[in-house]
Amino acid sequence: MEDLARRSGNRVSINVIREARTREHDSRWLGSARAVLLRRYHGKYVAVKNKRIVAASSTMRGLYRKLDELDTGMVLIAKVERPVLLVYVELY
Amino acid sequence: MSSFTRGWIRQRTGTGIVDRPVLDLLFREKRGYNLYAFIVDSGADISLAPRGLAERIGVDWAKGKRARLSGISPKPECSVDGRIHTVRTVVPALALELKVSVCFADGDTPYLIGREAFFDRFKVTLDKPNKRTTFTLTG
Repeated sequence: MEDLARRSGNRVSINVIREARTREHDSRWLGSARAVLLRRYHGKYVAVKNKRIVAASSTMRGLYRKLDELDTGMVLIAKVERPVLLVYVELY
Repeated sequence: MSSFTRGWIRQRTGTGIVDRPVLDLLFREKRGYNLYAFIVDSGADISLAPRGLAERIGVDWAKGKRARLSGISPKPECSVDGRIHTVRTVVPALALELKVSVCFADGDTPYLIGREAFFDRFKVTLDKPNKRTTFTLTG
């Protein structure tokens, strides 16, 4: 790990990387969370820490505002999609 | 060669259960760091994120290359304004910092990781039967 951290120019400390890897457990938890738990968050952005949704909002600005108030430290941020299939968009 | 594997996330939809490949990316913000869950979209030319993330990581959204995003409907009122920027992110699994091109949409879009830049650095193997993705660093 440290070799790779050096390769990246040491811009990110090992402690930050370790915490990010801990938050990846929250990502796995969110990905396997029961549908009934997530139903109320459909279409919203959520912040997860220690297998708990600590903030949610329908906009990113709203979520950031809540996170700043809570001063949570590093969280996992994800969008809980509505129960629809995702297809594609065009950029032009 | 460095590689890692990431399981897919499961979601119920109107037509049944779908499993989606995801990747967690770390961004340095004005106040600390946060991790973001991106859907891996090999069909997308470029990555996508909401404008709020650009502002949070200190990018001047308006200075990016302009783009319009539209879905199935060709109606102008159904399109969203976007700006393309190249930003730094970190893949925690490999402690690897890299630059990716992201279209930051002026709306509440999903987080998608598309091919531009990211797929140049990684060979991405989508293993649907086992619901996992293997990311192998190239070069």
